[in-house]
Amino acid sequence: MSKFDHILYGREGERYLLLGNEAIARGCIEGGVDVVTAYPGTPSSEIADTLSQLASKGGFYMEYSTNEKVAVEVAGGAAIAGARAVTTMKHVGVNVAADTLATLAYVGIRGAFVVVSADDPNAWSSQNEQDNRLYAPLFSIPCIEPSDPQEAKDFTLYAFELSEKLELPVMLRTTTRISHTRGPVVFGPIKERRAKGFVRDRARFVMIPAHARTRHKVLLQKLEEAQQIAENAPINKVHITDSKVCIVTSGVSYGYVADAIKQLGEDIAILKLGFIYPPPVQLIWDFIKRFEEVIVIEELEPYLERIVKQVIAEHQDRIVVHGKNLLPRCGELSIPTLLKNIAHKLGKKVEESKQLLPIKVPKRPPVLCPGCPHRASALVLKRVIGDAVATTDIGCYALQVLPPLELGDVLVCMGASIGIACGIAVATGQRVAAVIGDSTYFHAGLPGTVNAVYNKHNIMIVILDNGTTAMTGHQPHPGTGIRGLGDRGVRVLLEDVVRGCGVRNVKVVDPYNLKEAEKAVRSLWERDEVTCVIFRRRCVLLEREKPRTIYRIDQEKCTKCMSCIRLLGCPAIQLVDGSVVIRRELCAGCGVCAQVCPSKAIVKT
Amino acid sequence: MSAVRNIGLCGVGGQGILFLGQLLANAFMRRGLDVRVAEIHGMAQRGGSVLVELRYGTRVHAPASHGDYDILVALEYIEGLRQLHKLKRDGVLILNLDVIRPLAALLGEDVPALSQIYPILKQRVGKLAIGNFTKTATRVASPRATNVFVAGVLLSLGILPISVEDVEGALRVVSPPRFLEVNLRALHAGLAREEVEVR
Ligand code: SF4
Ligand code: SF4
Repeated sequence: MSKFDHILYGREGERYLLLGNEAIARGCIEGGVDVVTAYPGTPSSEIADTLSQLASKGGFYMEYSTNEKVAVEVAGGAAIAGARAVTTMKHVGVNVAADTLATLAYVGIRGAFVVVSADDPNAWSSQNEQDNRLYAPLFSIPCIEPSDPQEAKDFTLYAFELSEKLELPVMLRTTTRISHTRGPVVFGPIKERRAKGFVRDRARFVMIPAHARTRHKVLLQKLEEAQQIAENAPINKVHITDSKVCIVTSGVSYGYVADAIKQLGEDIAILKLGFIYPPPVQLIWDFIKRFEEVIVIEELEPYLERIVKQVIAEHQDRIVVHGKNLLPRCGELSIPTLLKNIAHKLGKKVEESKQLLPIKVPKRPPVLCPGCPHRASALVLKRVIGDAVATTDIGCYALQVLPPLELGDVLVCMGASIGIACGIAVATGQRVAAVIGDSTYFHAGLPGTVNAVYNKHNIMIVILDNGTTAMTGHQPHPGTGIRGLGDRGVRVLLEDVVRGCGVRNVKVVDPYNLKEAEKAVRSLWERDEVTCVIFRRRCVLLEREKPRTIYRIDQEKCTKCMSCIRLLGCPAIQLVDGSVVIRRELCAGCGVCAQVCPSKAIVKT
Repeated sequence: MSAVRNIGLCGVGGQGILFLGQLLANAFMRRGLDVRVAEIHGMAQRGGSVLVELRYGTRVHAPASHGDYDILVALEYIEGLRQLHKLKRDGVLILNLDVIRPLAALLGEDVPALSQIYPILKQRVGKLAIGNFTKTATRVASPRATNVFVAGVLLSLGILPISVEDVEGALRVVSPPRFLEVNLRALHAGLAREEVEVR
């Protein structure tokens, strides 16, 4: 029994409280999915995590691939051979997969292929808030967008059917508030599996220039077909009233619109698009033409707004379109934002909210967990490299940047730490440390490493190997040797990989042993060639269930110098009534604080 | 009931706030209500301020209310103060007096004392339930069950359209079986308002 069993075994008509991502997982199951691939990334991770738990029981294949490009290749390949496949990733993952996706649209698929892009307006857990709806026209693939957990499931199913019909990849675009909001979802029936098999067709599947030119034309024909389907798609919803102003929206924005309008006590005409590329231009025109003004409500880019303006430009210029002139182009929407910015257009006044002023309290940014090995490795690194530049990468260890550790000077995207470190080393003539996590290293660290060795860059690569993909929810990766199906694959050792890339000096150290680690790192730092240190210690969250010795502070010996707090910032160390104490229930027993206390006041319990 | 009601659930990452949201949402669903629980995952969740918004009503559309709470539940004191301005006038506040100091507070920044903010609370809050819930939960069950204890306290106020049976049933759905016993104990201690002051 896993806590996800109901998603596989739940029957038609039953209703469950599901996270949007779990609803998408159920949609895949109802759609008769054969192959699931993913690289984890917030806010997409739970789709793949759920399917990983259910794959063996459900009789479908699942893998965590090394990166999104590989994930699209594996799933796309399966779909070319007739399977129904899905790949899930976060928005920036599509950047990694873009090369493959752009041409996969040309060759198309024979089964079905749904690419889930989970965007992150407000950058809750991302390095940017790019709007992946813009990728759909670039790749020429259909894009659909659900607006609540129920639709997340239903539209996934629809995406599979659409993909199968058009023989094209289809993008299902969600945002954080769709992926990470729970709501009731009513289940439907589960489809039969398709027959699979590869059928040779070089003119279609081998994209030499001559074939590509032909396939581009085919792709455009398919888009026209998709356009016709979009015009009558049941996933678009029209709500007509006799209001003067109407609203065009889609996805999560619809939820805010619906509740904000309710709050204003108005009944406004709304066109809610589920099928957003190719846009149903006739449907849009038939809807908006009876109104004087259109307000387009969407988060981030004015994607729908441009389409509406274009539709109007093609017909006349009587109707005024509002969109990003009223609404923000960054971050998320909210009901208060809508009320403040559009109520006047609907002839309504909103009362100034009589909210309290916020009380001033200390900030609480996210922190590394108590006992996190990244805390110890940051301390060791700082001791060795001092003020030298260190680049860092995507993962929990990005929190090393915050006080009190303050390690990490540049962070851009997955795997970029190594290449950027090389660039800084070239420009400054100084040795640079490139900090990168284990999963991130497999994802995109290898090409950078080869490049550094080949071009003789003066960097030290620091791999923080905590044996998991921690930040996204502890998914396995090649270094763990565990597969997405939960069984054993082949464990790929990081040190072998790094040596294989040509790095001659590689050392594996335990960050919990500060002295030993420091000695080893120093020997690697004091060279002028590419060297690599691997800090190996499992993520504390994976060790939670194991028995542990926790630490306490001997109040007789403690001089209240605050070194432990100032150097480490472990959240288990607290001040209670003026005394420095360790909170038992939080301490993970790493023993690192005991090694930094100058008075030897921290002891085992 | 036509209006959508908003509950803010806040605390420090790791206190089981997501769990609390799921527990209550499942209970509402048992009553045939529509719900949305806006969660925060990934980086934003690691030991920092966590805020989950739960909305319920006959039909709910927007995933999050971004404030405007009828009820604010704080599993930690500083986080309660941080979100207090999002509570509606005369709303209900459930405030754990247990303090987990972030680094800034350990290195000297002030945490306003209860006596300092009491005038604001008296003026703004309709109903207030306070106590060191962590301490009590530790005594009767486990520190990890503070979230469920607080669910009991909330339920005891009689302001939610759900029954004890609804919450118990929901607990059986969302709680890992080996913690069910402990969680039920915490729920009932909360319902009995052990060491909780209500004004
Ligand atoms: S041993 Fe010290 S540093 Fe490690 S978790 Fe416990 S209190 Fe924190
Ligand atoms: S470093 Fe040692 S002496 Fe200094 S405050 Fe911490 S426990 Fe006390």
